[in-house]
Amino acid sequence: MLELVARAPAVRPVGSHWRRLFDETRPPELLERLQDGDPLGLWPRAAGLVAERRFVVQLDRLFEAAVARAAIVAPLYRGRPVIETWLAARVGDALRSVLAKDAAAEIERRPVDPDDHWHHAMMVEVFGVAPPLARRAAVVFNAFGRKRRALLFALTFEGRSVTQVVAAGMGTVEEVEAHLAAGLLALSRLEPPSLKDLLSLEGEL
Amino acid sequence: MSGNARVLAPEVEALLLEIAADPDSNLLRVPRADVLPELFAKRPPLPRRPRGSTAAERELLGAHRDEVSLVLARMAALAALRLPSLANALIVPEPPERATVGEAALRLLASGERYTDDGLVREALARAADRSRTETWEPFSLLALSLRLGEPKGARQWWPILLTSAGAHPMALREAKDLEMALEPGFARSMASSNGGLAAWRIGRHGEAAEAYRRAYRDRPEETLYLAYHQINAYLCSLKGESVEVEVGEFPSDPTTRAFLLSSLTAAPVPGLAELQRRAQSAQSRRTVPRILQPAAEVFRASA
Repeated sequence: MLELVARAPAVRPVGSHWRRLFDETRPPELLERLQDGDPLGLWPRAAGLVAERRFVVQLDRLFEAAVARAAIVAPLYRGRPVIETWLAARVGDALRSVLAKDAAAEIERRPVDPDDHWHHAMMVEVFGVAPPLARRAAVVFNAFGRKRRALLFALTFEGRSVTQVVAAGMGTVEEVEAHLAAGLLALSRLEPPSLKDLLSLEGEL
Repeated sequence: MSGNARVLAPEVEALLLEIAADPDSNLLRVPRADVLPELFAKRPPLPRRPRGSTAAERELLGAHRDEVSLVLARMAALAALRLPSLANALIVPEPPERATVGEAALRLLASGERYTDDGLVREALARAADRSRTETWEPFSLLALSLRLGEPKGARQWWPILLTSAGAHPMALREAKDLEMALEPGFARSMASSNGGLAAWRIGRHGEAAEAYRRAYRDRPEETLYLAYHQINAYLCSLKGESVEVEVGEFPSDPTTRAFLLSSLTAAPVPGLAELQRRAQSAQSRRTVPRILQPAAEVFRASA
């Protein structure tokens, strides 16, 4: 469940390996190659980005989106920027698309397909939100500013205490407690997100 | 396992509870133990060559995939058996089988010892099993990974007991019945029947429990505890005025088994049991117990 709090695996350098993978390969075949054993290391990159930014997102979804984006634009890649930068951009695009997709679905009040409830199971586990509302809870969480998100993540998903996060230099006791209370209150109310929330999310990404 | 068991710092948990107490709050609105197993089960299967896997991991998950899945399911069940919710419950373990490569590797994973030949296997599988600070959920995480690797014959049999450990008894009962229908007569089917019996017992459906334990006993007549549970539940049905066909057999009477039966009867709350215990003590009901159910009645009265 909480892959999110596990340590992200180390990213291995890709080197020039990409040339053999990309050469004259059509996107559907490349997609298959990239999923098979993750030769470009998109999984650790995705896990690393999420760990750094403290977004709540199911890593399988992010990986699939990153693989799809890499496969689609790979025929246009000629070696610049360097492959590591290019891959980081694909993972960033994928994160933006997954978060925006969820936010847009909530803004449009689209119900969640029960088969997709597992995508946001982490909100059920941590906050006891009913599965049909778990996507909204994730959108509300991800729309918090970076500092509040980091604090809430540490205090809930990671189970750290206020004393520990204060000792880690994440804020004063008053600041931490205020962010915690405001964050839990927002998650308690689960007001539908607005276009403004979506735009501020876009701005951060 | 408590539905709200989470590893949160006390002050965070206190604030969460305080905010959730508002009737309009969306927090803590579902018993997590009931909904999470289903959510886990819907996750898609892992590919044969999982992302970021090493050659050793691919070997383990490719050539030994079914074994790994089965062993993970067993590990999940063993982890569940350590939970207080299954203390003293009647669970008959599967007989040990020949250790295989996958099993040996996973035993090392389970033991937490260093797997010096390829430490990455342990790390990667631990990661994949979603191990985190939420130790409470470890059995489900292990089973979730097992199911994502496939559904090898035998792995699913642990699902009902895991659900029971989480307090999701109606779901456990449904799963156990589905399993029974899918299995051939034998050990695995008797386990499925008895796990269904345990789930039915926990929610006070003594007629269903009696029938389930009867089926378990017929598949494995050497397991006299199944007969004991069948007869105890049949006796409770008679106290409630329900009629159940009673299986004939020798009720186990040795002191060890009797002590186990007594402890398991009081191990977890069962709805309506106190009233049945009261009825069992009445002089009239003592006189009307059929001869075949006398030993069961005696054990049940002693548990009061």
